[in-house]
Amino acid sequence: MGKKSMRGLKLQKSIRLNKIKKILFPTLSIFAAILIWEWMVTHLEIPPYILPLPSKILVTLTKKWSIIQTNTLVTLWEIFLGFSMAVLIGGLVAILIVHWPTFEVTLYPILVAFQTVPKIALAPLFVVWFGFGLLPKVVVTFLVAFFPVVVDTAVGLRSIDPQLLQVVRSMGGTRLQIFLKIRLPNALPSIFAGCKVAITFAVVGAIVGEFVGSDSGLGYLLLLAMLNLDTALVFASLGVLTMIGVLLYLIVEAIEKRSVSWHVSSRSGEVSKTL
Amino acid sequence: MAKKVRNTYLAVIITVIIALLLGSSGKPNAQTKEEKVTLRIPWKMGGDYAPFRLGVEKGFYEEQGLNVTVLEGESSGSTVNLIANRSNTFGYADAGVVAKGIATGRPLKVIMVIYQKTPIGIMTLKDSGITKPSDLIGKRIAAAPGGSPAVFLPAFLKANNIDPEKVKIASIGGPALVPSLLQKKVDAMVSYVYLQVPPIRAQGFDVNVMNFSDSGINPLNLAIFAQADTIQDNPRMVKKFVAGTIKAWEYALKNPRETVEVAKKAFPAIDVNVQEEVLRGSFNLLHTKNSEGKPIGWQAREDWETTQNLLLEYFGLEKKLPIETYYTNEGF
Repeated sequence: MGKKSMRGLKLQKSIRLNKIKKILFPTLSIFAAILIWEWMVTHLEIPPYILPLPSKILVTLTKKWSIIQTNTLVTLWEIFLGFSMAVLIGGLVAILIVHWPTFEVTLYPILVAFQTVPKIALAPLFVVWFGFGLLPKVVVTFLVAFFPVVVDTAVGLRSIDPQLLQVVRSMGGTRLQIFLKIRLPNALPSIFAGCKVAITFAVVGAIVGEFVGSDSGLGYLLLLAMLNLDTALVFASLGVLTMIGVLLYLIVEAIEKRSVSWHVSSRSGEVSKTL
Repeated sequence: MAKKVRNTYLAVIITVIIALLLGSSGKPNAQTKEEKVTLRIPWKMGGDYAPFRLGVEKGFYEEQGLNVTVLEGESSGSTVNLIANRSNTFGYADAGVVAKGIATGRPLKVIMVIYQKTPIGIMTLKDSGITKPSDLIGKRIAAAPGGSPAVFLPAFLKANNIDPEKVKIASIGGPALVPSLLQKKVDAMVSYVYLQVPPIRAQGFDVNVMNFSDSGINPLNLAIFAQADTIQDNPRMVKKFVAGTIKAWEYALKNPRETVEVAKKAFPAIDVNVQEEVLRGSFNLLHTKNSEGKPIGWQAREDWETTQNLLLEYFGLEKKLPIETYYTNEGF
């Protein structure tokens, strides 16, 4: 075998090994943490209403699975709707901000000011205005996810090499062509960064909305469990909530990988190390 | 030049931190014979909790040798947990929630129940025409999720032979309940009558009321409780607290306005007019027929048994416990 192909095989092997490490290491450490938790609660005799046994939480999870599942789907739907609205409307607002300076000067300070209003304080108001259905939760979710999308998209749309812009303009490129062929693809890494932040906010937003005015959803279940002093159910709900948060984040990341694999920011560090 | 500026900033920050640390250490307390205890109420100060504050201000606890601090809380559930983890000496919370806390392993015991008749009731706008339970069929009732009104609503419906499927229950958070009723987004709301009627009246509306107790649904309501070993190790302190509390509430019964004004001094956010009405509205809750003639807070066994049965059926209590597990009258 030639030297070059030997290097190639080694590279493939190290990429695969790193992919496995990425999944295996966190999973193993979480498992270890859970085992330590089980041991600690048993041996230190911690009362179950303070810290339940992981095994007991698992039992609660299976016993109450159907009600947990129904409520999880409700919350997922709220997150999906709010997040999608945030991406669409946020993207639109960012485009307007970048292309029309008057719009930016007028709107941006208002956006920032509004962002500082705690949504948890607005949520009861939304229930009074919009009733107790899906809408107030979707509005809260939208509002918390909106800002990161706008900011990161605007930043991304703006940050193009001015020389590149000049060249394209000199070749007679229209604003629309510049947007579709240069600005947008160039902005994608930044847009996705905003989306990744936004999806985690959206999960929080949906829960906050449910805390205040809901009769369904994981946030509602969490509230009920706390008021009913059912600590195991609190932990079980939190566990499910964490898992869907992570899952949603990974989904956004997967979409990102497909869309911007050509960009330098998504090349894995290991590859650039071995090159 | 930059180094000089940075060093100046550091010096200022360190000085401020030291000043704060020194300032917060406070003067050492003069040696007193008073026992320091805390009472955690389940919500923000209002007319219904003002008598405790009155007890502090008027010296009813002090003459017993107790230095009582009344602290605002977040919910009955969190108050139960705060006393369970010894953050506070006494807690004041819904008796049903305390009972559930005891049944799920918390080492607590109830020493007094102040509101023995349940304040839970259905409220509808005067012009809604909904005045008796059967009028509720097909209507929308708002209830705060997880609270005792929501928990016992099915009991009320059953007692009045109303099919729960025929009633739409809307979960609406506490602060949004009254606005939802006034804006006719719902036809009725279920909550604590003495608490909600005064603010509704203050906005110029009036309501029809259906008390749960009139339909025979009567779980014990607000109760004072402590760690079981606090009661066991320090029974004299418990007796003193009970005595001070009785005196405070008896005074409040005769002077509700003064009680609320006194509470306002320490908790300026309260509206004296509304809260005086709130307090007055709760005076008929102090006794059931089983505790008639007994001191304020004295608990009747039958009332606890009624409560446990309701909790078994509607609040997820897993099994019956010996009734003495929940309460004691040894403070009287």
